[in-house]
Amino acid sequence: MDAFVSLAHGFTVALTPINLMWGLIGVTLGTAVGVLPGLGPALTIALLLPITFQVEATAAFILFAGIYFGAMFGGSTTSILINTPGESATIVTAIEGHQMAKNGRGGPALATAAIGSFVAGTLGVIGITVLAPFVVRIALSFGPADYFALMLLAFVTVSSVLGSSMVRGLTALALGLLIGLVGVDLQTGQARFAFGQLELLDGIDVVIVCVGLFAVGETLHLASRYRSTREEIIPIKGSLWMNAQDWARSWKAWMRGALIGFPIGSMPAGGAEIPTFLSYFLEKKLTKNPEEFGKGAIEGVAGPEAANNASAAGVFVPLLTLGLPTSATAAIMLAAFQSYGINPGPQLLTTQPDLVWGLIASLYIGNVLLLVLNLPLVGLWVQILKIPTSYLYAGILIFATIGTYGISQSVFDLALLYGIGLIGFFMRRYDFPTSPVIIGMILGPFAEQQFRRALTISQGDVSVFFTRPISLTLIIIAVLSLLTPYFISVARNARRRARQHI
Amino acid sequence: MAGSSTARLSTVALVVAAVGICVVYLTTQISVPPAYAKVGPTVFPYAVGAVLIILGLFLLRDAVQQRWICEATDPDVPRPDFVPIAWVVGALLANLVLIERIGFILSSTLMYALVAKGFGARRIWLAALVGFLLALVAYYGFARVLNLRMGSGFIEDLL
Repeated sequence: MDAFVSLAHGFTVALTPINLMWGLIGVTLGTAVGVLPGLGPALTIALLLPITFQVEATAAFILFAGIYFGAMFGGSTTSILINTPGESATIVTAIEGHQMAKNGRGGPALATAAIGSFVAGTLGVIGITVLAPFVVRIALSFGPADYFALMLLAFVTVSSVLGSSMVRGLTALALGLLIGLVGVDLQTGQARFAFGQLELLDGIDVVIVCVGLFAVGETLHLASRYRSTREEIIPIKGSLWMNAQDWARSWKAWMRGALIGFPIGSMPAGGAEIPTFLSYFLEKKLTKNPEEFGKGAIEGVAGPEAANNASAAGVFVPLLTLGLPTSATAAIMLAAFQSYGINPGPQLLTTQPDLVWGLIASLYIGNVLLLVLNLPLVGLWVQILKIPTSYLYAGILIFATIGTYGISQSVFDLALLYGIGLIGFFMRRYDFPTSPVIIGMILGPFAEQQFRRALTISQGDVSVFFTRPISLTLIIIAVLSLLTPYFISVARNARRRARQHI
Repeated sequence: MAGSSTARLSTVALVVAAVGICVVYLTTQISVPPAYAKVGPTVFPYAVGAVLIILGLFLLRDAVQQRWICEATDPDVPRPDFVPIAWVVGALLANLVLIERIGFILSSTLMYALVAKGFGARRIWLAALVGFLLALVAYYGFARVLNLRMGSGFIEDLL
């Protein structure tokens, strides 16, 4: 029960007026970027990374957590009202949610998404509180070889989960690993892939890669197709509130969604796509009104939204206890930790209790804020969608420019940003997922460090990875998931079916 | 149509493999201090290069077997519209050339107007005005609040 005492302490940290204000800014900003199609939390947090030089760590992470959850809420609003899922995790929400909006039931769809997210967020925070100390106990016995094996496993699973093809996911990851290699090797002082450029010796900043892929790449992609795709916002008609029947049909779906989402989110694989699809198909199977599915069944919104939110909470377990990010946003948060000189890992809970438990408590507070602020204000959020595309994307490029040029004042970095944006454009066209690039570039240097540390301890004996039980188990799982594309083809078929529904 | 899309996908696959070959070649150029001969700074680069080459071959297989479904080859997706892209790319290039000479604010205003034009904005003077105000606010926000140095320029020096 120690953990709950710590959590209570976390609430005293998160509930100070100043931290509450950061949380409020975070959820507001997060909802705004989440509502805007094409923008996401990873990009927003990357642009705000310079804030880590100005405010203390707890406040910054409360802000980032608010953005993270706010963006999810905003994303589901957009999926329901204009049927353009901003990220893969909200594809399922769009299936039923958009149908509900068309039937004039947009209000209840948004309400079940918001309340379901809140319920799932609550269960998720309890889940983190229970699970994190447990994972820490296991992680304390991890040696460098075990950490390397764990990262290898995360590389394989993340590449297969984030995207529709494992080969393309791994290619994106390898690109990220390559970007992570650029610069001076810390152990030997050797420059790698720097081409004699001074700017490259320090390595490539994650902000440049993230903003390049997500902001510049997205803008180019949209420019290539905005004239051929028109989107229509469905106005919210009728009551916002759910009726008794909506409640009765929603609450079990929320619970089931959260129970599916949290465990999957907290695994080293991550990804919110699989839990949302699983939840959708589970609800479709269990429902008493199967004829409504595809025409606006409220369970089809409630379950996946809860699963999405719970898995987003689950992502914090490997991030905080193992230093293992399993989504692009989590990878950026890891970069923020590094900027404070903090290395997430099993010691973090004891060395930085204020930060960790304050962050976990603020996840919960963020969910409460979202519920009370955003549902009544949904009409206001929808107004954001009326900003003309031309002004919106031109503005995004201004922020992209300032986010990178402002840090270094280097035209070289700016050119790198735009170049990476071009690569991002082609990755979108040829269906390579972009998140593994970010995860690869952040996690790659850690993996290399652990690999070399393990081999230094074993005096160059590679068998160290296969003789330690933890390491061997993780490597076997990694190889199995590499060789078992069966699960992926299931997910791919599910996605194809979902696309046809849309 | 199927033939041309296979050719394009194969090109992408070969580019990936070619990057892998470059990585392996560049890694051979990294000198390794003898003390680190066992697990030196080249082990990971070689691994990444090799993985890229292998993945390139797998991608080639996907391309040939037509198992690679994406926007670029989907006949239902309209062909990309190159005029707006040209405006955006032009805006980015202009910004690269001008940002050091005329400062962030003016250069970004121009970029904003060009991008807005590319996305079909009609009143370009209005776009330029919005862009100017946005750049000014962003400059103040980042330069002053976050204490980033944004360099100088015509407008920056007036503030």
